Amino acid sequence: MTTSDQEAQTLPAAPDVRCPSCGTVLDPAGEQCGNCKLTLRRLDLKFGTIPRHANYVTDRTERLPIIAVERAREELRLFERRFPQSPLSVFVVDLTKGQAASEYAFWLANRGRFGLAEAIGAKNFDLLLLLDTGNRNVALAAGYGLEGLVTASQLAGVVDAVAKNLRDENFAGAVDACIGRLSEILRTASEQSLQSTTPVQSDV
Amino acid sequence: MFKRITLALVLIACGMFLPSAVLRSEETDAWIKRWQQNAAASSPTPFASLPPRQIAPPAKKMPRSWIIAGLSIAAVAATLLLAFSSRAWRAANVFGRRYRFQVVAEKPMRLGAARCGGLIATAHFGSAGRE
Repeated sequence: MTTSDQEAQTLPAAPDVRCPSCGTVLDPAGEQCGNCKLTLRRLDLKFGTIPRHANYVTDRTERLPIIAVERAREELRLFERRFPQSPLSVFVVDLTKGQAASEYAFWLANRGRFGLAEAIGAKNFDLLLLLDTGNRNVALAAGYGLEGLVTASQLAGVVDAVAKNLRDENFAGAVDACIGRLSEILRTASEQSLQSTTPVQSDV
Repeated sequence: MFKRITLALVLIACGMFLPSAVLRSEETDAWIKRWQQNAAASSPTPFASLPPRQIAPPAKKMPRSWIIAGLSIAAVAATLLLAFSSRAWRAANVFGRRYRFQVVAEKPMRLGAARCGGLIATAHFGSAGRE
């Protein structure tokens, strides 16, 4: 990662960032949720050890067909070539009834090492798609870097498309739909980002 | 006196060599005449012992089915090669564009999280409707 000496610009605070636990709109610099007092540390206590995971696709349930996993891995590799700053990882897990997919995705996106280790704060453009086959939920988490470039409603459109495929037990179709929708959103976001902001760092 | 002796010697010499020269010339003429008489006769050739050259019969034409089969195999091979190449090109994003984002100023971290600040969307796929 390289850093230029150009002056940084500040994006407007993302208005639609909500608490992963209770859904309350978060204070931009809040150390904890104003409503439920959620912190990442609390989630550490809740979820415990970080599960083993790989780049691109991790299937903790071991129920997905190997061919589908390999195909998804290939598609995700291609996605990363298109968007080198935004690696998209898919994590499939069976969560128990009390574990919310949004909390788990938030915790895993922060504690797991899916992208570059140095991609922290505004330099983080990582994407994590969590498929909770236990409660049949899907969550998509985006890094700080994508705030202001991608909205929560756009991400909601992506997870809706994913869920539609998962209802038919079509894992490969779900990954394809996720990649397709995200590619469109990120393409536009990239163009807007390059037009509207002063470059600070060339690559992540 | 000396001149006379010399002339005599020359004459003697001519008398010795001229008859043989004339004789040789006559022999040559006779040989040429003989050769001319026999010119029509066939002369022996150096390859007389070799058998007469045989002309090979014209080669059989390749069956049309073979040509079609060969062309089909070539077409299939070319298609496979192109398919694998296009897959490799696609995987390597050879012709694709790379999209980048500008990193803006440091953002305040929320909930003690360093990477993701809570920009999350969820949906339920057990039955219709988002969470």
